[in-house]
Amino acid sequence: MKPLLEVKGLKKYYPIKAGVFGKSIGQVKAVDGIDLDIYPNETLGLVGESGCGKSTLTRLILRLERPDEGTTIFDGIDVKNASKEVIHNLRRDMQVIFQDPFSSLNPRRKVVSIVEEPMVIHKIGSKSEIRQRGLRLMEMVGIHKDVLNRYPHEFSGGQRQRICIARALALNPKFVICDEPVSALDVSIQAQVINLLIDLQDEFGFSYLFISHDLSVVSYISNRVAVMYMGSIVELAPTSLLYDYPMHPYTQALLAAVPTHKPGLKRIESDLKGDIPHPSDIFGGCVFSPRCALAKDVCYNIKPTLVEKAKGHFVACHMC
Amino acid sequence: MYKMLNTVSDKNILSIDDLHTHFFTSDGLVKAVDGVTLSLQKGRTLGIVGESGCGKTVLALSVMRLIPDPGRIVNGHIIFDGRDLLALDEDEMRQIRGGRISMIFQDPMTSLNPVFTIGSQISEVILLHDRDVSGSKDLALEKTIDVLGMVGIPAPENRIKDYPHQLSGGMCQRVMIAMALACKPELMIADEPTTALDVTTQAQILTLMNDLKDKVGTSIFFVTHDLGVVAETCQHVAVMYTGKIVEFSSADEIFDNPLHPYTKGLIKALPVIGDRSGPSRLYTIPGVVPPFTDLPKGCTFHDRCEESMDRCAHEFPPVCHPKPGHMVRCWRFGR
Repeated sequence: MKPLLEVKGLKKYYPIKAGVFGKSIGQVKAVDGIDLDIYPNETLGLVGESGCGKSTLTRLILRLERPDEGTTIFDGIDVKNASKEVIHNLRRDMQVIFQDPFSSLNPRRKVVSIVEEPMVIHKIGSKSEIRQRGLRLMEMVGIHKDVLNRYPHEFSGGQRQRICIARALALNPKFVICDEPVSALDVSIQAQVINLLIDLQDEFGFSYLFISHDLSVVSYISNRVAVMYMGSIVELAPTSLLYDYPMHPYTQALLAAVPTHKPGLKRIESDLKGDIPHPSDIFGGCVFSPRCALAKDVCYNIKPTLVEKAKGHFVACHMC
Repeated sequence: MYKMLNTVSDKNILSIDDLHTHFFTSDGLVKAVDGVTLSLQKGRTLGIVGESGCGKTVLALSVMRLIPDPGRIVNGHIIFDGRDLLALDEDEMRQIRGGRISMIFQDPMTSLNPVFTIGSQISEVILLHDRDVSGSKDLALEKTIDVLGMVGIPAPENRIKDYPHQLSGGMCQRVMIAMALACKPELMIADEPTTALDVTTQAQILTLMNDLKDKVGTSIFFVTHDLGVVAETCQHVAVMYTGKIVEFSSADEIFDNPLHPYTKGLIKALPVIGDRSGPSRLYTIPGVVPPFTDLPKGCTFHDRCEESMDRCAHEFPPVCHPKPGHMVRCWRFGR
């Protein structure tokens, strides 16, 4: 099967400027050589801690930002070099749901006009057709039609996230990026939103890039999971393989850090040392080497590449 | 009035008895804490679990007597070490606050003062509350370095000159914990101390809190929405819903044998890593937490409850003890 989205060698470095003249004194390697494929009707989970470059990666894929190097092919179209018109049309097929449902909805517009706005921008159908579809979308995500004329502040966090989902689906996209869509929600609401996302995918068959720092949430929704650390993918595998047989020491540490949900059951103490380094710190070799218990000389000098160690199971580690 | 446990007992460091904290807002009366009775034993950790807007933070702030306007503690007793905190005057309360009872807030980045070094912020607490230091800044700074070392900050003698923005989120939370522990308090109130942190940092902070509890002997009042965190740290758990405690028991009992339908739902809705080859659906509790200004009649959970009966719509269930040490407020177990 041909992938829907192909990302190859994507890089984005930001300069760090200092002084009156804004001299560049270093760089932040936000995204440092990422390869990813996402297939139709697939959910790829992307896991990583804050500051690892997850959000920059989504901005690059959507071309809200241009990469320094690398290519992004979406549905046969080169996103990096596409013209303004092509990008405008591409945005119909690529949508995004953001983390914070409180700041991602315009507080001055009624929810129904928020949901209809993408259709108005892309001039899909007449006014009444747009209204019809708007109502249908709201029904799909479980917002009652009596409340269409309310403003975002009148809704709870979970309902707002449903409105964001309705807006993202307004144009029948092929690909939806979910950037931490449930991390601002309570447990009982989180479950409702995850189920809704799965149901909608079953019905419409689009693909998700599901970004989260919560490994247990990702395990519910994803077909495959990629683990990101300081701008690089360190491990990529089908969900069950990644959780049952994690290979990279960072993945193992992440899994060990997840609370057990069972009193008295001791977590396996991980050997993870210290904090995530600042992305401007420079390493010669593997980005994880300063915190890794297994690191040898080679790890400090040569950056490992993503290698397929088992079928579909990719790891970037010299020691695996 | 049913008493949950012996409210006045030597073993209890903190006993809350029929506490009511109300907010007199323009939208109406908000009973954020509505008749809470709880106790925390010395050297133990008590978890208060609930979703946002259930009143758990207000409960924590009530113990500190830090309720902002238009809120007021209208009724009840908070017995700390044999004295009713609600009967103390503001001067006496200030002696206790920060010294014998300390608090860790959710967001370490905003609860530290950005214009003072972390050294001066921690030594301020020591200067105010620690009699041994008797106002000596050098001694206070020495103690600051000790306590920073204790919470696992590398090279504390250099770090005391740092400002909060120079530290990562995990480091800032360690500083907050150091500040809370600086005077070896008998009780520490932690309000969602790890919610703003990454999983690996969360694991480090939880391990640290557990170790320090054993070392310093501090009892912890742990407010959180995360049942996973509760399972790791708490010996007793109270589940809160719309300002009331609906279930209270030992942590083992709550997880192995939950009685209240809300508790059962919360546990079932929790995503757990397990055998799964593709996307699978989670258990959900229908509906949302009702706002305090518009609570349903009777049991406030009845319209979300799968096990509700006719009676639930009319009367809030009383406190019952289906087993010794296991309190639940549900008509399924009521008379």
